[in-house]
Amino acid sequence: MLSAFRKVWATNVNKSIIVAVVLLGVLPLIPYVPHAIAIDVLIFGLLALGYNIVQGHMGQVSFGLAAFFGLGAYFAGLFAYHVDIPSSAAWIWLILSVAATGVVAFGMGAVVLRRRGAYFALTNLAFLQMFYYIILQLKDITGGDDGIWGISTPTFGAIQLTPMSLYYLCFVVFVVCLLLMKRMILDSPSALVLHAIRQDEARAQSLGYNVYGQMLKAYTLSGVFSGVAGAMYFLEMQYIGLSYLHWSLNGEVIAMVMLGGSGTFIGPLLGAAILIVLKDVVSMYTIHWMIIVGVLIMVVILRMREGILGAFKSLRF
Amino acid sequence: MLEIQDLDVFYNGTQALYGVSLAVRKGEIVSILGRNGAGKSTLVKTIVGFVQPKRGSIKLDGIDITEWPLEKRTKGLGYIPDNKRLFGRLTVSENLQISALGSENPKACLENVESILNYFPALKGMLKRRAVTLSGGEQQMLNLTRALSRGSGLFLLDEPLAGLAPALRESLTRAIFDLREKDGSSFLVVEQEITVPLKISDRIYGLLNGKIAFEGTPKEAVEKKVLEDILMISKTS
Repeated sequence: MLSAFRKVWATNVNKSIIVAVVLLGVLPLIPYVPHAIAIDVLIFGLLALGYNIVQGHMGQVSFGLAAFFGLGAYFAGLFAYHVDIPSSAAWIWLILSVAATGVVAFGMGAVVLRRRGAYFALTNLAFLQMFYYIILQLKDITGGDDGIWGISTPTFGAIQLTPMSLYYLCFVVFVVCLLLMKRMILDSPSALVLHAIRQDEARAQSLGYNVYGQMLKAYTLSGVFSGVAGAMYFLEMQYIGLSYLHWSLNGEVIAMVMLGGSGTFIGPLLGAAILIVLKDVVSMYTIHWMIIVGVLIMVVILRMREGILGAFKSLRF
Repeated sequence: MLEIQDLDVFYNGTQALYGVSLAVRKGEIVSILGRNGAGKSTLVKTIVGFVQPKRGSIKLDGIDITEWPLEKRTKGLGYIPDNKRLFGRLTVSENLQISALGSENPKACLENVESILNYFPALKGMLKRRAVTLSGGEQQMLNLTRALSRGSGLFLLDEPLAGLAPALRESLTRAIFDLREKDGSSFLVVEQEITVPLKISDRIYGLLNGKIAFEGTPKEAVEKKVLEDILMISKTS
């Protein structure tokens, strides 16, 4: 009775995680795979996984996920631009940026989780738009509409940030986040509670659970991981700009999650990889790549409602 | 154990309960009988905390819990809702685990599950099945196991007999008597069906149009012939 939560399924999930980590580990070594694409798979894969805590595990759709990605990038970029960080303290800079995003996620969650469904989705969007316009207005600090280009990123001790070393730095961060996410969202008793809440909130409450508290915890975690993705994106681009907080990013990430399978743990990562590669490949052949990618996404979602990995029952929640 | 005083409850803008007062003492089995729409489920939902009363008080072991949030009240309660409300996509085992984890003493609760399952042995072979695949009667067995294993001093059972075959009704009755004898547990049973409540209850309340129309022992209820009015049973039955 006290046995682990779905041992057989967890084993298959572990296998899928191992395969994903191994593939990502060798990705930049594969010929003809541009480093920029490889890093984007890591970054947006983490963003999609972080967002899926809200959509897949909590069962709520948010139109504000770009807020944490954008704020993670902005906090990282602004710390690097305005504060003279010694290279020995570079990890602290990254942690501070993510912590700041986490505080915002907690505060935002405390408000948006008072509502569900469409109201939840739109309240998140309202916050995103608010952050967008605040950053736009604080031109002296954030660069406003223009953003800030060419920010020197801190070095991490002896590590020179070449494209390859940057990739593996992000890879290490990604793997740490993935394992933390698995531990906190999948392997802990909270996983079972979250899934119960997703199915019937009132019933979970009547069993003695603080539903609001549990959801706030999960929402904040989602914001933290999304913030890490944003900080890594700043590391890659060495630029901060309002496009990081644009509402259209929400649609892309939701598409990644649904492509890969919101009802699986690693599905969103697969969805991110497919969408990023598709965009890159199709855009080489036509300027109308958005139409083609959009149609392809629609076909997959309509034919495979559970997403690509969701087709495998043993990988579903 | 449980004391309710002068409860006025409004549900969806309409008054559902009018000045309801009742008590369940330690080790007592009390049934509330009433026809559809009498206010029985509203009463249970108010005690649990889904509905807030406009007036009146609810005390548990002398402590006023009227303003307590739902999750705080139900930590120490075993509650069976009237519409099962299992977590369909979780397995039987997971449904039992989730109930235990939310209780005051999860470890003791999980140990209780083993003994409660002896009353419903058919469930033992279904632990890995998703709850949504169970039949109505099997779901109710799971519901009962989930609630009765909470180790609470007080159990609120809202139409627990629904969907249960006669043999399982016997099992439920045995479980209730055994828990009462072993732990001194109290039971508040809400039902439309009268046979089992008349058999097991120490006292009965009759609820009619949101008001307490009768209070007494099952024998008194039968002698005074009040059940026909309360339950709108034909006088010839």
